[in-house]
Amino acid sequence: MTESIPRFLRNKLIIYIESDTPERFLNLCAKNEIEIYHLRKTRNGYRGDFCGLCEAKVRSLAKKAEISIQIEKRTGLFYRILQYRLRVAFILMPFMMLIYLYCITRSIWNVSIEGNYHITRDQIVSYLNENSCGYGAVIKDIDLEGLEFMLRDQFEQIIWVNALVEGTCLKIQIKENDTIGNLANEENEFASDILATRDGTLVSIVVRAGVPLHKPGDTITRGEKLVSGCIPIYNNSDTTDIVDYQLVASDADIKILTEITCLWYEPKSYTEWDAYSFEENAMYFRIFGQIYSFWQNERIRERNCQIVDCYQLSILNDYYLPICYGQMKTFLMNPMEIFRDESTRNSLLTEKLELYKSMLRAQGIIILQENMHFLEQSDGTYLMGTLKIIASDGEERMIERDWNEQRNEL
Amino acid sequence: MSKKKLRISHTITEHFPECLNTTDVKVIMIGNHELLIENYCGIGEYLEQKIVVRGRNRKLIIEGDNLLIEYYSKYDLKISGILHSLRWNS
Repeated sequence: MTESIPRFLRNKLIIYIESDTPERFLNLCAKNEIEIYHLRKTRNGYRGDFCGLCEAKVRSLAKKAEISIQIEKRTGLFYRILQYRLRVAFILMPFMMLIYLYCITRSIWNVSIEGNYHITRDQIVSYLNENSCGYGAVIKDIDLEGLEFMLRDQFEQIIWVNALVEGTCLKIQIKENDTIGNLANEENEFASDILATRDGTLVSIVVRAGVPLHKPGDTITRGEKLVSGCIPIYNNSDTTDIVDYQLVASDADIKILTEITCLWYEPKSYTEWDAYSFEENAMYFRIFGQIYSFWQNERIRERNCQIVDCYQLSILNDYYLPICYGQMKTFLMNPMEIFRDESTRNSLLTEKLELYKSMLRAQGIIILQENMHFLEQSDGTYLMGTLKIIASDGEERMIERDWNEQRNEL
Repeated sequence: MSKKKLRISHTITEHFPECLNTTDVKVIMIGNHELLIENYCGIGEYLEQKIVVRGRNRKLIIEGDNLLIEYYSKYDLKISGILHSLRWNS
């Protein structure tokens, strides 16, 4: 049986028997189920390994067999503990470690997120940290159902979320909605009006549902109602007599002529951080969110460190500890003042304007006229002016007002 | 032990294989360097050239050079060394 125990843990006594006739003693030991290994003859006696915690028994048997023995060495786990029994730290350390581990495993030290495509991991983790459910949160204080509800409420793309705690890891599985636009439209099946979002002149209005309140050529202001979702129902015989109102979700293609103000700025000089050619790699440790490295603190303060990889310690699969380690790359930065002449600044501003115009065209906006000009100042160049455009307009707003008010408007 | 119990134990053991039912010393010899012994009573004598193992009725005398008891317990015994002879002595 003792063969299955590792050799260094096995408790045994190396005993020297000072006798030429140890047979009776050996037989007594065997009868008392003390196993003897490597029993060999020496010059004046015998030496052997006696297994087990049998010191007292061996001594009494030696006395009974009337021979003298000397215990030369005690080995094994029990005797090792006995040897260091007076050292308080040795005894307390395992218990302290267990208590520390117990305390540490009461909190969340890792967040695992699955199924996110549009919402980034950082967004979710920062949201969890804001709501005291993330790194370092006490497990028993986390309301998982509440957390699921909060996540669904915060991120509208999430249509299904499952949160569970395994060990010290908060596992969040989410499912995002790919057809968010369609859903939004379905939700807007309630009665709604369409309001103008900017000032301008109405160019065209094609109404599919609702009552148009303006005609092409009208000047409109921001927030003004363009289409009403409240359709009056008239009596067949008398067209002036309104019998009832039908509420609909207004739907219309509205185009307005409007002006947008643009302003871009390019400074004469700017600072560019040029990285030195040499880089340094070193180990770092993150304990309870605090990063410790072998570098001097000054370098870390310079904000030119980049974490290359990060490994988190764990006891079992899901019992993560708040200790991470990995490699950090550092490079020294050199500030460089770069000056640009007027033509360069103008070309950069023109590029910005062209980019903005192409973005507007991509949105279906027609640019009719542009009144842009450069303005040279002491600190840099400004490109400012207005663009006259024809753009789609209209913002849906649910009808919540009184019937009488609706009637008066119509 | 009562008569009834004795009778029962005898009935059980009579169906055992003969090798298990015997009181003789069982010896397994591996070449001339290892010897495994079971079903013995104890050690009669232990020297480098001679080991005497006591059975119930007879003694087994093992002679050789550099004889060493590698393992000794209540049930079995292992001897190693250069074995020359084994003799039974009543």
